[in-house]
Amino acid sequence: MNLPDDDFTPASLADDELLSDLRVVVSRRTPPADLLVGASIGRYEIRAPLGEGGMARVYRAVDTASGDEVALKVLKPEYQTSPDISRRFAQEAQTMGRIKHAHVARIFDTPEDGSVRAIAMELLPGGSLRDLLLRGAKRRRRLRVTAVVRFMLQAARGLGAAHAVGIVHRDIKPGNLMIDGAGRVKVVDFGVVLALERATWLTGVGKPIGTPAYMSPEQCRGERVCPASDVYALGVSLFELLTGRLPFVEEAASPFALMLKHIQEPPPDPRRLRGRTPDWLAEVVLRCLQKDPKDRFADGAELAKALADQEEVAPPPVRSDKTPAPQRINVAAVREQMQRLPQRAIVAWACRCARRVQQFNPDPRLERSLAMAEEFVYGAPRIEETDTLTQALGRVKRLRNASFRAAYHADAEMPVRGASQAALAAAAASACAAARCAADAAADAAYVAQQAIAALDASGVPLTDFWQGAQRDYHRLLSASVGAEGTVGDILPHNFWPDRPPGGPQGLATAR
Amino acid sequence: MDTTQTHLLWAVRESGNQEAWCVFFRIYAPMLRQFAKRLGLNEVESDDATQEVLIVVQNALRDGSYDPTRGKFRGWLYGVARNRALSAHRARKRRTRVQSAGGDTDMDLLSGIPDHREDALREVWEQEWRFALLEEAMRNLQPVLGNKAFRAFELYALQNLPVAEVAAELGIAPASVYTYKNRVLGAIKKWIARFDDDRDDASDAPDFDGDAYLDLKDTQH
Repeated sequence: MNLPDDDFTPASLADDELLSDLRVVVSRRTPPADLLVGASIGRYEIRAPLGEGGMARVYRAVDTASGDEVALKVLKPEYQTSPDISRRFAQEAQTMGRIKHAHVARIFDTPEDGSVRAIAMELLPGGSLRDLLLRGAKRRRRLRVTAVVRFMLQAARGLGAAHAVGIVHRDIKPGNLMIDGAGRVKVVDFGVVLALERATWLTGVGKPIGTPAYMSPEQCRGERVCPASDVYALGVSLFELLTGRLPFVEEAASPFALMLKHIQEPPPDPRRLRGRTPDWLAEVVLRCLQKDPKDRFADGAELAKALADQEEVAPPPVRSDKTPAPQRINVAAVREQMQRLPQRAIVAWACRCARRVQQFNPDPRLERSLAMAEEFVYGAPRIEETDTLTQALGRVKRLRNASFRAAYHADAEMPVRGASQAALAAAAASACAAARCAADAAADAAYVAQQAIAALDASGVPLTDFWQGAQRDYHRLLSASVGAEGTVGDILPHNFWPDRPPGGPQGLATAR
Repeated sequence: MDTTQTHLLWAVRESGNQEAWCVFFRIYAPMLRQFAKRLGLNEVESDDATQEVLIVVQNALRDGSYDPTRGKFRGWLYGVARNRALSAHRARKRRTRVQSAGGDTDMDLLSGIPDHREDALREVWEQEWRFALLEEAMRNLQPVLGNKAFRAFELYALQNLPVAEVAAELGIAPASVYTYKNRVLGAIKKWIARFDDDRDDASDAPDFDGDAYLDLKDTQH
């Protein structure tokens, strides 16, 4: 029995078909997809899962009334049937709604749909401090002391606001301190944890209350918690952010041994693990970690005061208020637009940026990659010769990832290096885009280039020469024709470039 | 195991080559089971059918009763699998007849199958083959490209999550998400194109005659 001759050849398939086949394959081997995705609870339409806690799942959802994105926390099905748990879930959410503070995640609504209860709250795109710790650990870097103090001060203030209305969080840890779009820390999972875990504790089905690594001695002993219990947990988080390690570590996978350490062992001095920890900060940490709640700061507000007093004399934070954080752009929109851009024009522009930065901060290792990109733009057309280019980009790719990070987390210590790497990366990415004729990578390049500009901008280094060159090239790019649609300028989204801060280099934002 | 489909079939014929048989089994067994299920067999019947087809394959490859000059391996296997599914339907019909004495409706053997036209069955078969290949490609490539690359690919390309979200979840730069996506997709296509060498006009290419075996053996060493 022969099959038809026009046989299937996956390699010849369009990516779309291949991807849809892959979706089937993956869905077959993974457990059935979350039924809630695509469903609605109240006026919230659930889009994608964000994370999962002990008793609830968090989804990215859209408020169909306003069109705003929210985080929707939904009680897991197994807990929805318990009237006690769902009542407390809603009750505590309402209590939380009363705490209106800049450093506490806002709760908008408590939608219900039959037995399904949910809490709609602020979507915090910056991830948690835990993510930050993990990223740092991977790069073998620790957060700067000023950043740690700033984050903890914000968290303590948020916590103080809750303590003021009589709410104890009970599960403070870096994972529950999230960062919003503007880089501010917000306390999440407030109160809900208290309600839910009290319920499980009583019915005896839950795990010990809280997260053992961050639990206060009184929590470990199962005693009454007080605001100072949260201060202890925040002290542990502060210790971890500062030193990259926990004061007490679980050994032999025994949470009870760890709890015993919280109760008995004196905490290590953070100065031993991070020599440059200021004395005052080490003392704050150690006071938070006192065994007796009375010896600690009484609540979040008192801790915040201790941190704020010192922060004023400490060096200012990385980004002063007059330099706004680089504006986020809508990558999907840019991507769509970029698909219509002449890639050579982007490469030309990116090369030019890179060359300028290279003049400021020459890096011989990157010279060859840049030369490749320049040759691509200015030399004879050699799109077919992708091998050479790909080879060069093999090296560049690493550079590209590293430099992207550099630009993304533009660092006060090395603004020019970070920016120059980013600009070079832009060149590399553009060349990559051109070589593969991949629109994805072209958007990538545009994004990197934009980050580079933002980083250069934030550096405050006088780059007049650079800006003039970039401006000229930008105008050239804008007036490049893209056929029937007109010029690049006509199709670029209006918010493509971030607004220049007043007094900064002018031109790019107003070029239109 | 680095191989092509032709190479795999050849290796399976060597009865001592356990590794090849394992790979063969890993690729074809889930495919045969899914095919049987989609032809209306229940779990148990599908498992039985799969096992029987695999026994037929093993014997046919060993004793040479599969004649490569009559067509491609996959086409031949389709015939075996299809007939086995039909006989399962036949057996089921016999059972129901005995149980519900007298309920003798003259139903078509294939009427239990959602769409029993020949070309629909072939389409199901081909689709399952694509799925099996993709699964095997991913299984082979995941250790090479890394879990993070695959996770990024899954979240971004398959689940269509926004790049920024994927980047945040995996703790990588947004640019890397695109890189991973392109890398994984490219590698899958390449792997499949290389493995699926059976797609060439097999009736003209005597992959299974003695000379071909020698050639393959030579290139292997």
